[in-house]
Amino acid sequence: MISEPIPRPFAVLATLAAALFLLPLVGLLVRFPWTEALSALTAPEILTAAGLSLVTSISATALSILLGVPLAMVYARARFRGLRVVRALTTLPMVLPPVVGGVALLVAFGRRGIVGQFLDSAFGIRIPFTTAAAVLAATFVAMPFLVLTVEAGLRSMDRRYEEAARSIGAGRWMVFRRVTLPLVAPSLYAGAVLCWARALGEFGATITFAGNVPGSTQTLPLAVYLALETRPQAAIALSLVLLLLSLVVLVALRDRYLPTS
Amino acid sequence: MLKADIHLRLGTLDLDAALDAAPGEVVALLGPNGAGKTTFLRAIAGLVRAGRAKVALDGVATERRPIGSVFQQHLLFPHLSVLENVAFGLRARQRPDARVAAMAWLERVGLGAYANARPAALSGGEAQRVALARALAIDPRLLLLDEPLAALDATTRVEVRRELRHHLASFDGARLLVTHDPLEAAALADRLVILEGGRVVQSGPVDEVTRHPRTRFVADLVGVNLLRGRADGGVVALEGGQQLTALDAGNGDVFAVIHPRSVAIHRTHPEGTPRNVWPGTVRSVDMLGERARVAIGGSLPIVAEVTASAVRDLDLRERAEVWVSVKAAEVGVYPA
Repeated sequence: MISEPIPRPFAVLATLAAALFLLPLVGLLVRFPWTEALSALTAPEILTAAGLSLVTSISATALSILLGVPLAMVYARARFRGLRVVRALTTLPMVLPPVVGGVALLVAFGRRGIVGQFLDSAFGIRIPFTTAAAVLAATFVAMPFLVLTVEAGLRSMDRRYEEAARSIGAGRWMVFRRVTLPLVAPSLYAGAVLCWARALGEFGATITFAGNVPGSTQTLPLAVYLALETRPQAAIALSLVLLLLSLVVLVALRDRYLPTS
Repeated sequence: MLKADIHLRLGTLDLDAALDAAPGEVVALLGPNGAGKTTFLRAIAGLVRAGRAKVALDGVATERRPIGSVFQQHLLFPHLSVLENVAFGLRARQRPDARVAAMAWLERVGLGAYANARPAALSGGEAQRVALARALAIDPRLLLLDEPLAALDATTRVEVRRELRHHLASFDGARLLVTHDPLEAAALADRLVILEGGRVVQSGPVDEVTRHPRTRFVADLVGVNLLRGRADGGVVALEGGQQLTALDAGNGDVFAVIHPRSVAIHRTHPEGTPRNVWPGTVRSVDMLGERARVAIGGSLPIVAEVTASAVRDLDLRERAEVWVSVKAAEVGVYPA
């Protein structure tokens, strides 16, 4: 393939742009503490944080699938007044500063929050500063990725398959379970992976709403941030690990987000 | 017995049509694109909920009765095996023997070997046979066929049509076939219902509608001479004992199609090249604008379409003795 000629100013600026992304990666590789990486990564508090991150991100993804698929279904197929507004508001966390999300969650589900105080007085349930809060924070910021991806899948699927199923006597639930869901499976898979990656990286909403309690709310990103002050080697090692994980996610979704030329 | 009475408006379509189909009867719903054929079928299948639809099978509302549907695109579920596709409707009815019954149907359409294949591995004709098995497996009292052959190429179409007729013959419920192809309708149906602009403009046995179209539109659509026979090289032996000469008719059971405009009428025995010449008696003359459809009886009854001036010049009226001629090249021959 022969390249098109690129004007010089563009080439220079494009190089700068690429460098902006590549230099930090190079930095992580150059400063990676090869000799102490293993001990840094297997330190007890790091392993605890990693385990917690796995639990919260997977729980958030599961919760997002359970609640997000029906939401995507409503967005793709229902027609009612205010639908567009609701849809816009539930998409907001994708562009909202996560800290703002954390504050909002706190005033809703905190001990004095509009729902939280009721939960506390009626059931004695206190969400903030628990693992449940970390899951909720991650779900809040990550679910829109799943909803939008599944919604797009539902909109582009061939609905005549559902009609074919209905015409030979399948009920709504069977049509959904055996036709709709398998046909949007690629979108659901992509949405779930995106959602999981976003949940795993969640920092702002988590530290605001769930706090930074080792063992119950201190996830990997929080641990990395703290380690940077006390044990920078561990922070660098962890960062590279998280970066490789992100790379794996990108490769897993290559058909969707990387052009196949 | 199917009784359907559908009234609905959908976009520019204003559908107001009713039809019946007896058990064992094949009814073809024929009409141009946009006439409302497919919408009518979808309303019967319960896939369109707009408007007023009274649909009863054997006197019972259709929601409680199994209806089988075969669509233009086979619409086999791409993520399920061929066998699971056929078993789908049985599973919806919680039949414990779904797989066994589905396998039996697959064997019946000759595709047992493909049970574990995905639909994508099938040819267009095979996929349509599986779609038919999927529809028949639920033991429907009514089978709906929406242009089941339209998406197939010409060669496959002949094959699948033959097979479809075979399977339709062994099915004892009512069958409703939507098509825009008069030949397909004639090959498969007992009765034609012609839909135009959302209204039934004519209905009746195939012979009657093709011989006596009541409107210009029906005449153009289906008003052809359709003769069944057996072809042997260049000669078609008709069911009535007569013979037609055609160009390369092939072999086997065929339809010989002669357009009324290709039928020439003479007062005396014509000279010249026409290969098919026979005498007859004028039975009726119907004026349709500047043209006239002349029905001619005799050993080989046929309908001719001539200009109004020809009717005057030849003095064509009932009981007039005439000669009919058709060029061999004007006899279309199609495998039945």
